[in-house]
Amino acid sequence: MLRPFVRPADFALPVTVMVNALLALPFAVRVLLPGAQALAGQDRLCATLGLQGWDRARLVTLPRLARPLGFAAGIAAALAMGDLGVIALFADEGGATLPLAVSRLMGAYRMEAAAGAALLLVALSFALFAVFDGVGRRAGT
Amino acid sequence: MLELDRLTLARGAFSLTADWSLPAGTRVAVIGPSGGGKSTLLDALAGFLAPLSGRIRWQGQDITTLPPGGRPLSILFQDGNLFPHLTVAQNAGLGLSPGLRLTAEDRARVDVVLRDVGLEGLQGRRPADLSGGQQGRAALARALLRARPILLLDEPFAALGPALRAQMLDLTARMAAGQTVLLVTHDPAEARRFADLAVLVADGVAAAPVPVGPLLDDPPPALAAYLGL
Repeated sequence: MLRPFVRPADFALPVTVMVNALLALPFAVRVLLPGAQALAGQDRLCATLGLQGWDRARLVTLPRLARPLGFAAGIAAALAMGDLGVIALFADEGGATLPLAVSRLMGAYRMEAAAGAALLLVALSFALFAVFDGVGRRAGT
Repeated sequence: MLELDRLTLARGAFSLTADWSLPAGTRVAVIGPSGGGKSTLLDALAGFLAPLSGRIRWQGQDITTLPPGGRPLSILFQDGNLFPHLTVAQNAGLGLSPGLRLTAEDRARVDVVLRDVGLEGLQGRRPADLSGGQQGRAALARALLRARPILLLDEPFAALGPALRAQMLDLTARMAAGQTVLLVTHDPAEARRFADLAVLVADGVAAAPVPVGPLLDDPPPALAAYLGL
């Protein structure tokens, strides 16, 4: 529909990012909710101390939510690694992602190569998750 | 002078009126039955509850619509007075600068006040590593560093044992000398020990402050019923 005006490939990155972010959103909300509710208990304390805006974010909100934020980012990263929806719309032969490569290999009945790619995908997803979660843990001591 | 000028407060179906003034520098016990409106009164003074009508003035200046952080007062709550992820020194330092942008001079002042309240050497601890009494001292240190002329105490030491509570009140009285202090309490002995005046909050009215001794010696019916006399 938009083809006369724009090249779909130009939008591959922003659209992929947006769709993946939306997919991860419910999980992120669920992960952040308990911490955010605990923070609400300190609204009055912040208010009486005149703690607001960036000061409040820097000194209270971000440090106290660092762990769940890292965890949520890890989940989002792992989800995005496995995403097979949006990328199939855009990817060409040379620019496939791992899940797409796995499905193409399986489609070509090259099961051993597909298994290898899937293993790599699992390892990368775990590693990304561990990195984000670890950063959050370290920041949230 | 703290003036409550024909103040009407409402929270749901509950309403409370107050129309009196209080000389600066006095210590006042706010007493009365649970659910009588003590917290409602303190919330209005602290800026968490907008009055239906009437004004609140401090030294002639109208503070009715100021945000909580802009009012000439500090408040200690029943609990949750400290940020659990910040150290004692950081929690106290928030009293000097909400952004914790402290000069070397500020840090020295924080150390002095922490020493005065008996927390020397504990600057780097977090609240979870402190006893209840030490947490109270840390919160008091922050209030002292803020150096606002009014101090509201909403039963901040209620979770402590009687001896420690008396000790904390004595410390507060000593450190906050010259400040106007309102203390919410359930304990008549505590009111006598700490305060010059008492405000009885019952039946939807926060009564004008009267000397605490005579009030407790010859209590009006509402207070007598509450005290079990």
